Amino acid sequence: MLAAVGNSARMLYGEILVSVRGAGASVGLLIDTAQRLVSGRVRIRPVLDQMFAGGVLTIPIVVLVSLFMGMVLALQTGLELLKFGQQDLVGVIVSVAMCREIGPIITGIILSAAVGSAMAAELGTMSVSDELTALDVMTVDKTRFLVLPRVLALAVMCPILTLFADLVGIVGAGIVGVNRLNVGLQLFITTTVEALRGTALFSLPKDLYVGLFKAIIFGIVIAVVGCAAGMRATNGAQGVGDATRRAVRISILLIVVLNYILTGLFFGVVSR
Amino acid sequence: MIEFRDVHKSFGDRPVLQGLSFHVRKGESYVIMGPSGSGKSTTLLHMVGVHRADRGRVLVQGIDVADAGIEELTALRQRIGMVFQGGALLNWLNVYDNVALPLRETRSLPEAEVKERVEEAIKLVWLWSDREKLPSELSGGMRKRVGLARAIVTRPEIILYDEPTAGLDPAMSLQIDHLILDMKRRLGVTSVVVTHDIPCATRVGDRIGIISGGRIDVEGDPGILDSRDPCVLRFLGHGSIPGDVR
Ligand SMILES: Nc1ncnc2c1ncn2[C@@H]1O[C@H](COP(=O)(O)OP(=O)(O)OP(=O)(O)O)[C@@H](O)[C@H]1O
Ligand SMILES: [Mg+2]
Repeated sequence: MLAAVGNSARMLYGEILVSVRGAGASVGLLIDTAQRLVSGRVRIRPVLDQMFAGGVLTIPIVVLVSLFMGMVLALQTGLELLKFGQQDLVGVIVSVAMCREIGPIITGIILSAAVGSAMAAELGTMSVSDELTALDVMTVDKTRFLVLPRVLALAVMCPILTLFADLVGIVGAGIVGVNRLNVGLQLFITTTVEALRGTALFSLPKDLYVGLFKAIIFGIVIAVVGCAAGMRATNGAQGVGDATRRAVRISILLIVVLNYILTGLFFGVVSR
Repeated sequence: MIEFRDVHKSFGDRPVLQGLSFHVRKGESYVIMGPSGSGKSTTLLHMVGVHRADRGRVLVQGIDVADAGIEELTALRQRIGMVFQGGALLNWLNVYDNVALPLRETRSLPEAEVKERVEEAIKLVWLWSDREKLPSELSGGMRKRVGLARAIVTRPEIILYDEPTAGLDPAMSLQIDHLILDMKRRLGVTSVVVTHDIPCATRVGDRIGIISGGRIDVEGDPGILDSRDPCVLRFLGHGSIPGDVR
């Protein structure tokens, strides 16, 4: 029993160590990438390619997952609310939760697993088959050529996908609300819109734009962590696998930690 | 032109180069041979500053590669072309774009000149009709030839070839050897050729060095491959098989 606790503690420590190291390498790459962005031209074509590969292709999975998340949230909170006869509030609760937390987090985690990992695998394969060395020898700037388009693509696609997730999640809640909780459709729509408009700034719902801001940060984190892990891969196919796993672990961990910090900043400190 | 002085290099606790010394003169083609894992590719990568010597000096065109700053190193690399052992092509670019890559990314040439140079390079390796193909649609030998085209398209002063003819059929090997000789004769390119292929070494090499134990074991003109020098015989595998029937 004690041994098991000790073992888990050691594994947790190892996990944190790996993440801190990976995050360290990523910070360096992030700074490099930002430099490339402000100096010199940015080619649009590779960014669009990456947006397609890294974003458009993940729309179906994001839609499905957030639909069911919206539905289950509505069902769970709805059943509780039903006890107090307050089921009309379900639209309010689910839409705020979707936009603030669930939408960005779900999108972030899906992109980490589906796109960040692919970036790590792709750059990892290039690393172990001498392609990155070849780029160095040809004096091609790897950060500008490989990393910048990926980071920009996810910084754009992650909020767009999050917007999709928010909308679809609310639709899912609406389906459950109307069919299972007998909330009128008209009422569901008006309460939801009202709830999101409640905290408006520049007539933009705060719940929504904070969520989208988070999504931009998540997109950048996923791409930078994926690229950094891939570029450091050594040791053939096994090394590529290690890099991929490392990228997913680190970016998911960073996403949930950053999410907490950002929520604290926007809703904890600021509004008090 | 290129000079190694007592170069030592270890990866972890595994020594690979242990006092490697040799030099290559301007316009010369120097062939490096040696068993697999003896450090031939590692030696080439020292010339472009990808690896840095633990001890000793690597001088290329008078520049100490291990001490060179980033700008000096970049300028040096732009004068060197390298053919990688596995081709090292980018898998999402077709043949044409792979060959055009170093011109487009590192030199600001007008697209017309890029086109002219790329066409010339691809035709030199007889792949013009395959220019639209992706690397995954090519054979290993074709990929190697694309790598060769990519190395010469920048018109370098030094070309490093890592096994340029491995995996090619004899006729194609012969053609590549002629290409290497052509680059040297017509353009005065200095070349370093790593190869296992004895006919290739004999044809293109002005001098041959055989690496063993992390240093040049024997060095001389291609004639040494026919000599009875024990080091050469050991490399060629003669006498190493018990009960050799010859
Ligand atoms: N980046 C590296 N990290 C660790 N070890 C390395 C690295 N590069 C090469 N080595 C090791 O150095 C030794 C020499 O490698 P190198 O690739 O130079 O051999 P080679 O002579 O080119 O062999 P081959 O004929 O098979 O291509 C090998 O044992 C290899 O495992
Ligand atoms: Mg090699």
